[in-house]
Amino acid sequence: VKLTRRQFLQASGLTIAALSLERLAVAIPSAAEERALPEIPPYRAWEDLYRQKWAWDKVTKGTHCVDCYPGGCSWNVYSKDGVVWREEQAGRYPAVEPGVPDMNPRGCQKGGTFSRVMYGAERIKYPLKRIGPRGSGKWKRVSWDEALTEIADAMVTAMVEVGPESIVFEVGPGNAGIFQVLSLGRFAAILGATSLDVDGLIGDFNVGNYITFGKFQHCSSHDDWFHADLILIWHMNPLYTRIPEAHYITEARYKGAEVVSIAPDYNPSCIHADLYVPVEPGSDAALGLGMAHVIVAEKLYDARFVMEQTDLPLLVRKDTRKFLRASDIEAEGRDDQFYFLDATKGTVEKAPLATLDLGGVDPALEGRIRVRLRDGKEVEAVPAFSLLREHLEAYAPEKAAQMCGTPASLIRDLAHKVARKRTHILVGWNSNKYYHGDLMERAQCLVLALTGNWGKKGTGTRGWNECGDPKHIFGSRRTADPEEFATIEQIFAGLAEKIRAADPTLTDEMVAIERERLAPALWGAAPPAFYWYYHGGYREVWNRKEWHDPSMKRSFDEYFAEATAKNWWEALLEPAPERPPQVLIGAAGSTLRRTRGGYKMLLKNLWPKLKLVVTIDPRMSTTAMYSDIVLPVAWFYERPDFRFFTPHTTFNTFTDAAVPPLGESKTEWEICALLARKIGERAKARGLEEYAKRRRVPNGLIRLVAGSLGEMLTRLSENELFDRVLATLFPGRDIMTRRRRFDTLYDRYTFGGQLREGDLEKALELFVSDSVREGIYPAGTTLQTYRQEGIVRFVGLGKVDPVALNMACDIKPNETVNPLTWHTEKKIPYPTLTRRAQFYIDHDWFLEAGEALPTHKPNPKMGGNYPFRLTSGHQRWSIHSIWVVNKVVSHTHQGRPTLFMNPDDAKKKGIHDGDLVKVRNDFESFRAHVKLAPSARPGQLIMYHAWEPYQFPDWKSYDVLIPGMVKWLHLAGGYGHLRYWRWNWQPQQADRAIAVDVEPA
Amino acid sequence: MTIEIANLRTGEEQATAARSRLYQVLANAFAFPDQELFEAIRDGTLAQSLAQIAASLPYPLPDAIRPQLREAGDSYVDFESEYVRLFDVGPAGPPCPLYGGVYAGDRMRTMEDATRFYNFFDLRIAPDLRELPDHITTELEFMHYLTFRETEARQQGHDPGSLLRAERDFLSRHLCRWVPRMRERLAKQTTLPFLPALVDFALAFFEADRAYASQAAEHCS
Repeated sequence: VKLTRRQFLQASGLTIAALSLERLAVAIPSAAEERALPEIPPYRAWEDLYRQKWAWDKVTKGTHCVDCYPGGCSWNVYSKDGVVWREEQAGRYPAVEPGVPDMNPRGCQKGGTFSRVMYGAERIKYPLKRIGPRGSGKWKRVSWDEALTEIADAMVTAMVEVGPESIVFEVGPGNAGIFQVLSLGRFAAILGATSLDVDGLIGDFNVGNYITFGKFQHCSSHDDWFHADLILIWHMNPLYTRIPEAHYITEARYKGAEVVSIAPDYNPSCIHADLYVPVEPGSDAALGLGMAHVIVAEKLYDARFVMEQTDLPLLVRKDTRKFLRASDIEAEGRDDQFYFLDATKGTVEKAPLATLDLGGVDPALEGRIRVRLRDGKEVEAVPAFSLLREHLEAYAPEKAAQMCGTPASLIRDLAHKVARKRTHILVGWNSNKYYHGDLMERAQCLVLALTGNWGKKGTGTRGWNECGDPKHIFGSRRTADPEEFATIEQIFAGLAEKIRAADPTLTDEMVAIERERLAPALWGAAPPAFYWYYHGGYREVWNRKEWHDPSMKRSFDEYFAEATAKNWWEALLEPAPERPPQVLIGAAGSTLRRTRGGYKMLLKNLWPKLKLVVTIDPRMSTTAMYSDIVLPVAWFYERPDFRFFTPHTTFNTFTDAAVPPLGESKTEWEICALLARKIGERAKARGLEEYAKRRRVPNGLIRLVAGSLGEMLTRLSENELFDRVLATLFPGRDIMTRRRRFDTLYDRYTFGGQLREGDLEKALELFVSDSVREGIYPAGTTLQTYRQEGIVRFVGLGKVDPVALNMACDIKPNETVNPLTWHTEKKIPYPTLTRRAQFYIDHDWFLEAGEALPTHKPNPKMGGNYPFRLTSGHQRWSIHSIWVVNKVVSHTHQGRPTLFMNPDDAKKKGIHDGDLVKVRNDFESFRAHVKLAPSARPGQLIMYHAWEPYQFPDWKSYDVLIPGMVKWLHLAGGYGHLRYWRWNWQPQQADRAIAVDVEPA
Repeated sequence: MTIEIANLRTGEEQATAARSRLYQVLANAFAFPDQELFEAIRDGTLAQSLAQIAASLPYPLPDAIRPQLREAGDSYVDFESEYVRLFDVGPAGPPCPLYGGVYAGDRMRTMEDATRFYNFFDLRIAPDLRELPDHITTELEFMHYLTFRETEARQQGHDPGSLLRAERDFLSRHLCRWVPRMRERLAKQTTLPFLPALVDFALAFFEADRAYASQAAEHCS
């Protein structure tokens, strides 16, 4: 008989003893069967406990599905009695290329202490509901049913009253296995909610690389670093951020490579370099352009590479400063057909659209020609290279040295090294976080282009790449029927055919990108900049002209209005200004910590609009503290999942459910399924049957079907149009209809009821089978293969995902991976406007800003006119904020947010080591303790990234004084590749080189 | 699992049963409070129960039963919320976690030590509990088990030495080691009288019981 709580508490008679075990159980089943209780063993003292050999219940494979990049370290995870006790690097990476060191062991101190984080004090174990004001810390535990009911009610109200787009999903990478993303992404898409673009949220978009290549997600495998003769560590601190891979730098150096570290501060990676090159924060473009000057002036450039791979031989009109286009010359000429000046024949020749192969043309890099336009006007045109040469005059080393603080002799020396050597630039996600990071990266790319340093082993630059998975096909599934794969493949092929019908010269990569550009309206993606502008209060901040670059001629609002009026961000302005967000679902992202200035801006402006804030997270983040409902989620060793797949490691890594989720935690897979079901139930109880998605269908989609439906489209209402277009493009995929029924959400989420909340394991099996079918992993690979091996190496990257195609290379079984070889070896064009690596951007805004060519501009005074520059970087001790309060790791440093400051600066300010100081600007202030460090550059303050706001006085972290400016040029659109698609072209907030002052607190 | 031993005859047997019973009641008192517990605190049921059992212990607990053991506030919601704030969640963790390992230098070592105790006596954490071995309720339940088995041994005329020594050591290495530290934090964190009073009662009991077990063990083989 089960006793009630009260009975348990009451005293019983003295003559009875009752044993009641709830939390402990008899360990040996046979003993339990044969006898009620086990024999009592002889016990003398505690030492007896340790005489028994400790044996694991099991050893499983694990990894950490957090936004550590590249991550994907395979670990052995040791568990016993439902507890993970330790982990150890699995060390099972086979050697890939003969003569190149293997990747073993992979793993750092964070991975090695994760079991302690998992059981750390910040772990959430039960669903919580706020009962005091937001942020008051007053919570009650609630049942899952209570929590889901409350969320479902708020969602149903939002869906019918405002539209499903007012439900905003911010899925962060803090708990991001593939199935976390797929679960939440699928659920959001089925609802018709808004999913904020993760790259725009975290600011990991390498803008300059994108402007140059039409993509930024290409990277070599890190074992390819070994092939470099010159490694430029430039905007990266690999000794902090690439601990498992840093050995390749050392090994390359043993082999004879030279290692150069370029940074404002003498950071921990500098001590492992042959040469340290100091540079003023944010002035790297001047350094790069100084090097380019030397390379051009001394004719050290690889002319053939420049002619073939870049836009620099393309002719530019002197009168308009725009490329000479076929539309200038011919009546029906294409707007994206450009011209060379043939040096041999002295004639104007069309640059081929379908290949980079120059054929019989001999493009001139210098010279000029007069061209008659179709209106009879005659204009002079010159190769872009000539303009570049003129432009670089301003960056002679002595002049560049004035701008970047690097000695002129060193600039020359570096230029000579790069021109001579097989060069790889190790760039992280630092450059792109500067306001003018695009210019810095464009300058880096220029140096590589001039010297022919990409598309071959040991060369190139890099960005985030997450591909090599079948998420497009798996995510498009309506059923778990393996054969549906073929149907979906056909739909993708049909779409590709329609896209290519408009332009047969498009490459597979371009087609895939164009297809991806149609996706946001279907799946709900949106760049967050508009959400912040409309709903987060950033409009006011971004209109502070004095915090922008002086070359911004008009107000931010004027640019914004032009961009939206011209429909450059068509169907992406969500949630729309007139339909403010109602429900925020934050999943392991912590928007109040992550959004630059977010703790100030979002709490003040966004939070009051939100009817419900939900956090789905394993840990009590600052944002969770300000939420209404907090749902505990299974962590990395408590669920089967895959780490993001990335060619950086070339192995896909699996993590297994070593133990059940702690407390009442559930997986995101299960949470979304239960919520989908609950929404159906709650809507039914309110007599509601359907709701309408209000997002409009983009013109790109309409154009695709216009040929088949013709004028009929123009007579349709917006509702009918949406469904008709989608029904044509996606036959039978009613998942994307405009009007949706509440009672089908669960069925849709669960693949027609075939993969229900308890079927995560089956879903993974299907996922693996899809990935094998797409040619990504070897035939015969199963979930069991992952379970045994922990890792499986790619054999391909997939045919559907544009991010896979962005690599533009084949995966070879016995070689390191180097991207872009399809361009350099197979002569396949780049996905840019000019179909070449593009250094000249003739968009009106770029011309107006003087940024048609890579140039240098000083940091704007973001925050006001103050003498210090606050910079940052990923820290050594944590991946974002996940390890920041872990005691084991925090005992290896000060264990608190620390501001690094140059001792000479400190002396002038009367600041001593360890002092609490106040850092302030016109936007906000924060307080932190100072660590005096001669490695910090004078005038520089360094606060490494991702401390939790609650670790600072008044919960004001260093993020709070970052105004979160976005560069106006990144609102540009309607131009070749300067158009949004997932993770790509969009504004993102700058957070480096913030203007501040510092004083004793 | 529930097992009863009836017909406890000797004072020793009854006193041991009282010790076992008290650990069980405390495990329930420290567990997440439902409305029933809240009412039992406020109407004095819990305090009365503690007092009654304490009266049957083989040693006195002077001043342990205080009026504050009834003072859980007026509202269950506030009481629950205070429990969550103190013991469950907070920035960088709650201020006074109920996990012993948090107060030790090495959490894992503490959990391992507790698990070794459980395993030595052929126990393990209940698989569907999804709780950790160093939680106060688990540790109290283990003491409840040891003292129950001691009662059984005494009734059956077996030597309880192993059990007494294990009780002594488990208290020394766990409850008596970390609960005082938790109490120090609690003092700074809450104005609600009940919780500090409950911890004080528990601490007085742990210390007295450790002394008793230690002494009793010396008379065993």
